[in-house]
Amino acid sequence: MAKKILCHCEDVETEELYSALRQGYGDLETLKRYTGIGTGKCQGKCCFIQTLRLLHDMVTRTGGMEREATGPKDLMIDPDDIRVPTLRPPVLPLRIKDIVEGERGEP
Amino acid sequence: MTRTADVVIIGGGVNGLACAYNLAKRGMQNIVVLERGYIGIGATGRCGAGIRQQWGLEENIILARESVRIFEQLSDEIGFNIFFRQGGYLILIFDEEEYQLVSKTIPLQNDLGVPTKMLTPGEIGDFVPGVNLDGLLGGAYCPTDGTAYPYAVLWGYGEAAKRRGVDIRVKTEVLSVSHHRDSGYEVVTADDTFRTPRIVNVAGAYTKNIAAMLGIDIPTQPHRHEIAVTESLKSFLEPMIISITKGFYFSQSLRGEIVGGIGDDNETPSFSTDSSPDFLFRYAASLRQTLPALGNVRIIRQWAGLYDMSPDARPIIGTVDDIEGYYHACGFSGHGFMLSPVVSQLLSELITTGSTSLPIDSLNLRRFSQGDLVKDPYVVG
Amino acid sequence: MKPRSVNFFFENRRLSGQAGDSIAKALFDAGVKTLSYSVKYKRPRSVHCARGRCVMCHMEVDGVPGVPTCITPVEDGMRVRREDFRPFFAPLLIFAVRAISFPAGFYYRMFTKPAFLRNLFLGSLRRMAGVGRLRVDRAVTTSAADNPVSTTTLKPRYDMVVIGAGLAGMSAAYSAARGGASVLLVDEYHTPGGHSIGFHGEHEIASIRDDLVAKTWGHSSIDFRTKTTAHAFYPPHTLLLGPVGPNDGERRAASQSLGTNLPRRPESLSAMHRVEAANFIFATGAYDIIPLFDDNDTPGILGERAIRLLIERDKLIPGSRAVAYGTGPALYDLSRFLLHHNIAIAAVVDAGEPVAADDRELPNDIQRIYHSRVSRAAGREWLSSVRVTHRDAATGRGSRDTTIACDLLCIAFEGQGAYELAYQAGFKFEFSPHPIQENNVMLPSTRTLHSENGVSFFVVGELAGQRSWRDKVTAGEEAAAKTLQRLQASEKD
Repeated sequence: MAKKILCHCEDVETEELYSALRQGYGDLETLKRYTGIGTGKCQGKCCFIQTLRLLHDMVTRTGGMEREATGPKDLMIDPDDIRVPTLRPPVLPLRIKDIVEGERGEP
Repeated sequence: MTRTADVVIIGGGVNGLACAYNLAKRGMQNIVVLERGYIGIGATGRCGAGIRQQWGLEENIILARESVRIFEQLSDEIGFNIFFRQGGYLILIFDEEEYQLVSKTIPLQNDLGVPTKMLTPGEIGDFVPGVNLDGLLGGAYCPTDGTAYPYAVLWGYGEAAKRRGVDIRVKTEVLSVSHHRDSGYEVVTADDTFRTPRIVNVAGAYTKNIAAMLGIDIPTQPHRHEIAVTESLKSFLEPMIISITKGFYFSQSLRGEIVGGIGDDNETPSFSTDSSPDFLFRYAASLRQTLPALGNVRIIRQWAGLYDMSPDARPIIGTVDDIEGYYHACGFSGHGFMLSPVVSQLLSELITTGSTSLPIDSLNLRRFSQGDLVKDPYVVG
Repeated sequence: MKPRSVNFFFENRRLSGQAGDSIAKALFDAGVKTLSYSVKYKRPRSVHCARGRCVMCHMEVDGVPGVPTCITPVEDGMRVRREDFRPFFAPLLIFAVRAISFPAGFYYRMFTKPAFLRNLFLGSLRRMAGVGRLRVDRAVTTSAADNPVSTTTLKPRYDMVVIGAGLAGMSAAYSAARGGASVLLVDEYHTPGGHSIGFHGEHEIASIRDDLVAKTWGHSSIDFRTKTTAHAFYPPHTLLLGPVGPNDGERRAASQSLGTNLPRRPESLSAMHRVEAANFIFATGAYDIIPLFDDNDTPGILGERAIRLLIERDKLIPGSRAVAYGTGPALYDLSRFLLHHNIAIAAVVDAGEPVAADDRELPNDIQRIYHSRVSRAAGREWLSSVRVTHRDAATGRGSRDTTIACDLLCIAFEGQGAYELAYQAGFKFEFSPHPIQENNVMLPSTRTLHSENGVSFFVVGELAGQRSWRDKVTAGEEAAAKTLQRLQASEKD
């Protein structure tokens, strides 16, 4: 079955985002934790913008040709939630050994 | 708009939602929960998820034991998997004095029905592959301790409360609270004003700020506590590993990540939840020292939350003398999540019947004006 | 000089590769393209971001889980295996898992009772969760130091720290240094240039870049550190730098491809460092964003930054017949890049209006499809075709589909700024809608920030939404000028 993959790290497809919204988990920070979007190793480098795009399309009812026909129609999405979720350090996964030793040691 | 409620609960953390659920279950109606951000923005959503019964004071052990009994059947009760897993807590002991203390406390825990036992370093090595035995004197292990996923507990209690008609309002900050002798409490938010005969103040580290609006002085202090999480790995670590003297703890979540933190004695009171590089370095060092194989694992995120520290590191629960209709639970000092099922149950008993099934008098706010504070030696960080 | 050959093991096979190559490149040369399986649906995955950011090429190497093979060099005797790859995952089972669509949070609602079933369920979830396997010994006794090696603070304090040595970053560093400031300029790659790596002689960007590299690399007031990653920004003024990160594997001197012969000098830091400064310029560039369409994670779908890095840096040519998809000048730059490297272009799919001047430069016989989107990718383990949906100009709706056979889908939409550090410093990022959805990005609401602790921050380049080289260079100069003003003002005080 074809899937539109939203978050590659946690393997979350767009359908799962819609399903979370249908269940009432529409707040951005909650959506992130409920679906796992952006909680994987890359910490949302690719998926946040796509998530925001879907939320934005649902709020504004735009989206042109690729308007998600399967997306729920009447969800309460707070336009204020179309922003970057909290980003914490580190930027990249940081190996514990590298932190402790200060330099790259052999595995 | 002015609304009325039978009870207004301030704080949408685990204590607030669990209290709302328990009150609704006891037949109370017209319950409103006010949360300034999203559900879990506070300490619950930022905590280390540990649930332990290994304490030094009898009443702490009993409270924790009762909490575990509720956790054991909570998924069933609220129809929501909270991912409660009893992998046990293993307290690593590196210090002779601590070894003596723990050895003396284990019989007390056993008498109260908590099955703690002392493991030798050899047994620890067999039980937790890869643990560094250097300097290790032994470890206290309780197999019925464990972890649960804090967000699942929040969402589960939240959904169950909503099904029973509780009105949970997120992004609704309490701007002011006032008490009027005849008309009860007035709770003001940006959109609405709530009139209610009783309020439950469970706003985590902000509880004292809400109490101050009513002239109540709560002697707690917010302390930043930092946590980090690694990439997810296939499960290899069964128990939660902690050290009381070194102040660190870590466990493997159901998703496979290593989640843990380390306390900082130099932390000064503040509401800051910024991340710090010092924590990252100290925590990484303690992980690698304790389980050297973790050196090859990557930390993907660090964050911080607030401990609501009370002077004796014990919670402050119940009513306040001479103030009618006011209830609170705060000062959990880092143990609010693990105690929330039992505390919320006791609070709801207190609100609906005026008495509790377990004694909580010694946790009343008035103890601070009476002196005689007893600190639990098992407090970490 | 002929590269030394190395022998390594991939699962049960013995393979050989060339020293200096990335593990991914060595595996591709041996015909292994599926590098991992996704965590939930077990979908095949392969190199994707080419810069150690995503998880698609992560493998177990010498017992270490989660190693980004796109940037880790292959070594003699290395043992490489796919993570969580179990032979008993019979094809039928994989097929079934791939076909299921799990509703969000299904595991919260299943088997909540009775207890034995719940525990069974949680137990199997626990077994299935996680990707990498950590090899733990039965028992260890090491008296390794309990305390971390103290990190050193880079001294002297710099007037200005620039993160990212692309056009904007180098321009800022050079302008500030020329004005008398002492500058630390860091970049995570071996080679400076950022997004301009991969543009060649005929393109004006190449000469601008080479000029900036020449001016900054040898400048006495610029401490230029390549292969140095900015790992975090901790307010109010601490930047955590380290030699580790996506630069790990870049032993191949990519400077060859720049046409600039950079002098040898100590480049990288030797340990984690904390840098404190009063002026920071974030020029961290952007990430490729892969749009949402059916099976958009099929191996063989690569962003323009990734394909440039794979080809320029690793000499890894991932396919031979590409569909170039995107819009704006970047799409045509990408198409020329592919042609330059002898990759045939099956079609150029422009989601919007073609850029007439750039379009004319492409050979006439290349098929162009305008106002269209890729709506589906197909291929079992590797891309075999894409479906392009034409949009009716009048209604804006999809009107007809074309299937195009290809083994690469190269995507050039606007990149999303690498906003982590700037966010941590306090910048707010807002969703910026664009008529072409794929071009939606998050942009900083301001380009300058002055903290209450007296620290100034600037965002420049792609991070600030600047796409043309002129805008990037100008933004760098402006940020430098403002910093110099601040420095002069603080000297007077």
